[in-house]
Amino acid sequence: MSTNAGIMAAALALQEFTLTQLAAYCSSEPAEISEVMESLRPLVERSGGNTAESPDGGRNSQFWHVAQSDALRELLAEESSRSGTSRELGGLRSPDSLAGLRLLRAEETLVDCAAEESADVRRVMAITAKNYLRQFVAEGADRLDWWALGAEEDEIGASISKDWVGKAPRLRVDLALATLTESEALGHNVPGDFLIETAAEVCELGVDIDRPRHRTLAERFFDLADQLTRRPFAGASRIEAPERLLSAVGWRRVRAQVEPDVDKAAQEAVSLLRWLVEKTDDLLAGSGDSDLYRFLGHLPDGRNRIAVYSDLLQIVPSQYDWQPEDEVVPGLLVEGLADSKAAVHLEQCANVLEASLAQTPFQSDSALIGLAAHVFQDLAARGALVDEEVLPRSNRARVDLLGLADVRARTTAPTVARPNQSGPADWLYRGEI
Amino acid sequence: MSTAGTSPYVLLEPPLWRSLLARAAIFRSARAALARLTMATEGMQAVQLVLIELDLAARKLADLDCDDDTAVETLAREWLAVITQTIDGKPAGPDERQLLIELQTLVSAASVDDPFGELFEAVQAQAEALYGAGWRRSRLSVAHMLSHPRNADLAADPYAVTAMTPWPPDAQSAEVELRIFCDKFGPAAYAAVPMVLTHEFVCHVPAHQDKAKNDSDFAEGFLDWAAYYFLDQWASKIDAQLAPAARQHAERLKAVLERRPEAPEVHARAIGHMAARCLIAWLERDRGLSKDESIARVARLAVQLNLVDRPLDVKDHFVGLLSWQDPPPPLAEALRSWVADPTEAERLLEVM
Repeated sequence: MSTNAGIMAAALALQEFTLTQLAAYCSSEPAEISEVMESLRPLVERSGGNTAESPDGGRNSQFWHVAQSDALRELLAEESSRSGTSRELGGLRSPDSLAGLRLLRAEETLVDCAAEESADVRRVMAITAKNYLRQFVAEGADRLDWWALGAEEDEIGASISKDWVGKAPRLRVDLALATLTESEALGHNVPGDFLIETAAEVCELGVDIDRPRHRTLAERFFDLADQLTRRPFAGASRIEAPERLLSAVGWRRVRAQVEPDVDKAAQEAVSLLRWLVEKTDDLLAGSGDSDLYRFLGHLPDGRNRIAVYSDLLQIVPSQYDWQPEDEVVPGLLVEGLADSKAAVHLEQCANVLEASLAQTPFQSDSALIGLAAHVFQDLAARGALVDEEVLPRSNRARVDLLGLADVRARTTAPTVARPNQSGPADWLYRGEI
Repeated sequence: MSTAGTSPYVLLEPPLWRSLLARAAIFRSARAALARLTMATEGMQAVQLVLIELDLAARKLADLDCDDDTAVETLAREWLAVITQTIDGKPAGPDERQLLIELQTLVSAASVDDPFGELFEAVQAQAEALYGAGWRRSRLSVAHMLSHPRNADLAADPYAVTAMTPWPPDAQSAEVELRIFCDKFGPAAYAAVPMVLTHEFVCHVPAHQDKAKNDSDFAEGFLDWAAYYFLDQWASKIDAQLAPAARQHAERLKAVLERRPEAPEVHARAIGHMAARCLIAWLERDRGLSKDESIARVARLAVQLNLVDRPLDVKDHFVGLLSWQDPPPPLAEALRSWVADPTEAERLLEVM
């Protein structure tokens, strides 16, 4: 590109400028530009007014403007054809690599949402990610109007559909993450079935994606699902705290599973979500008891079928009879058969835990988990009166729970507890959680 | 000039500064031949050998407790001796021999002036003219890196230099930190310094942004494209003799940076560059503008938006909308209005 062509192109881009400003957009110095400007008149003209700073006596700070854009463009075209080809823009990446790029950018944007504090910005990021997904799908389908794909979902109240992305798990999960991010940012509800369906698709991601990316996307989904499944239930505080404890422990156990085995974590998330959705429906219907302990029925042999919070099983004396049958939510809720002593013991423990949870003024996940860990310590002391092995077992369970709460556990030496001790320990209120 | 035992940069110990200054002073003196010198290393063994000798001699300077003058003189003298010996004693092709003879003349005029400071101020002057009232005056700091910025093999990635602009910015002025892996600072890295500085000045120093984001499609992509445009415009004004090598190594650095296919910042750069090219093509097609005018307009848009007080993710969103053959209809309308009135750039960010 010739010097004159560069000056003319810059002038057309700026429309109104000083010589110093125009010099920044071309390879010429103000003195040379001034000569060219003079030669281009009346296509360009001086404007009235100088800038405040004029170290060169005002010449380079004098404003010019393009008076006849069309004519100047014609002149530029003549100059460009006379002087040869315009500047090269640098090599383009191959179409294949560009297509993959949009998918990667969508996913990177979705993961970045986790660190963004502003809900408004998270919403923008979700829309950006969704646009990249649309572009990716459109390119694969040879469509030019990517913005039309899934456009009906942009209307508030439209049902969530993943039809336009096709059947590939990766795209469906990415789209779901974008939708969930936007819903979370807007404070909208999300159908439970959509969360369960997405969790199932996260299970299938492994065939479509490398392991590190699978973990990253799975973690993001678990975070969103955790946030979206928290429900405030007015007037149900007795039930709310136990459910929140179970939800907190459940999601933390799922997240802890991601690094060693993301497939297993996703499967556990499906179970957890099914339970959470069913629980939500029960609570909204005004029914449902605490799931820390639930009596399901008597067996002819005198045993009881019960459903119980799994960690409570660590404080059942070994002399009592307990036989697990089904994991309702792996690592969280289990159904099994218990003799009368075991059933009574578990029910009492569950009641103590429930009462403590209802009384605590601290409602964060860590506080609830820490409180549960402390209650276990007291309950274990009672169980140790029957079976000394309850103490070391409960210590292990307590350390595991406190690990979930990101708290370093202090393991106490086995001692025989005084049965009348109850209530949260003082260390809970000293802020060690 | 720094006296013995001192360094003009707080983050650079005097022995390292001495060695780095001497290397850079030699490269600066040879800058008119730098483009050929760095290309020569790929096939000319004699030139490769003299560069290895230069590296060894520069490292020995770290043990010499001397001032800047002595360091530069010592290295220039020792290297000249190597070049002379190479010309006299070792076989070389005619092009190689010619290059070595040219180096002999150039290196004998090596100056002790801080080459980094000189380049810094030259690039800053251009950026200040670009951003006008939106500019924040900045100062240079130079720091030593313990390893290559990308832990790369020097043969494939000779750019042992990078830069960063701290965020959040200081209210009074900005700082640009040049980070150099001193032991491996060669002629290609020196030639890349103008591009590295231009990127910081165009993309980050004057930026109005709410957060630091190394994989921003706007800040590291769209603006990076603009930085390459401006370096191309400014190279001769920054240093006419260095300009060919500066342009050459700016492009090579870009190619090297693209070789990390899994890095989010590489993806962001690719998206941003693609968005700029798409917008240029659209301006030509839809508005009938020439390629040169379209390029200048897109560069201007990048600068305008960099000064707008909106969240960085909003600007990233805008870049995402552009990274396609045609922008969506609402954005196309907004772009047509912007072409008619280029002062209305901020409105482009409102299209969702």
